[in-house]
Amino acid sequence: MSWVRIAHVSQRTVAMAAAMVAGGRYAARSDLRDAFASLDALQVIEDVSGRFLSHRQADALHAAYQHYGPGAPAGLPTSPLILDLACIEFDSELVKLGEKAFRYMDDVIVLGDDIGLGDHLVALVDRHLGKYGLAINEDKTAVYAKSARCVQMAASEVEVRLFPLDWLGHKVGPRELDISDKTTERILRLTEQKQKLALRQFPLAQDGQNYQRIYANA
Amino acid sequence: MSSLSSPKVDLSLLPARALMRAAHHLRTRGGKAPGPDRRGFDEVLGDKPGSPEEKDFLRKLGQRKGAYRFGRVRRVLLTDQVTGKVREISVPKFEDRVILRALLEQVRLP
Repeated sequence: MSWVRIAHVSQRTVAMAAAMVAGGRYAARSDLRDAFASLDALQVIEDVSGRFLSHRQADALHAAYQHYGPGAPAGLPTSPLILDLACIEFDSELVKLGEKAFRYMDDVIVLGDDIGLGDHLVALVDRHLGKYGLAINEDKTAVYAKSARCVQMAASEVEVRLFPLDWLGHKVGPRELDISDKTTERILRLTEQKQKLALRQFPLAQDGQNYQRIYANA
Repeated sequence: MSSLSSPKVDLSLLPARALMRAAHHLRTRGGKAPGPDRRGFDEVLGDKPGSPEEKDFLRKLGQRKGAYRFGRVRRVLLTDQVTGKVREISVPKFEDRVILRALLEQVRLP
């Protein structure tokens, strides 16, 4: 069984991803460059009209994005839907690349035993999403391996790095699950009250302790 | 596909109940930011579900079947304090938000 298109990021979702990372040898992580700004929303709506949208729904969305465009502006309630519609074919191919696949908005992880996962992922984005103006963000694209030996032996056009990888504000590795460094820095800049609210997104226990308690005692 | 170029929206595809659910979603789960005219959510839709302001808002919206045009948006620039990256967020008016939210809830992805 594979998972794509995570609608809601919960403790369970991230824990599941971490468990999968622990199980597989490699993980390819990538995201799409300026996904919402670059997305050709009108083309997406025309392509899926009559298949995943009724003609009347497509008319309404077309009118909206003709008005609000170009792209699918962040902040509109339907922009994530337009991205999901663009990714329907991509998602169905993504799960075939490795053993498990996750996509949250424009953030993708594929897990498997093939070092070429990253190259396949780049090719898949070009093939299915290029027509909608979407492209890989090369700075955030890498294959992650468990051991330094795997990194040295790797023959991949995509950069190969050691775990842990940053994903949705978490640092995920074979034996590690924590808040990512960038997110920690962001949270520490908030006021005390906002810190408590922000930490609600990270209820995962680390060494038997709850994050909220760790930060409250710091 | 010729109708796809029409800038007007046929609101008859959104029943009154769907608009009400969408308004409730915006009230309880995010979407209350002031619109382009800077009026707050509570000012336009009242401070409680089912308030006279909300009923009036939904009634007026429901009456505009077949002739609705989307309005302007307020563009907000958010700077990430860590990376310094600037993101632009578009904040549409409340009517547009309710319609788009109701549309979103109608669509079932495979």
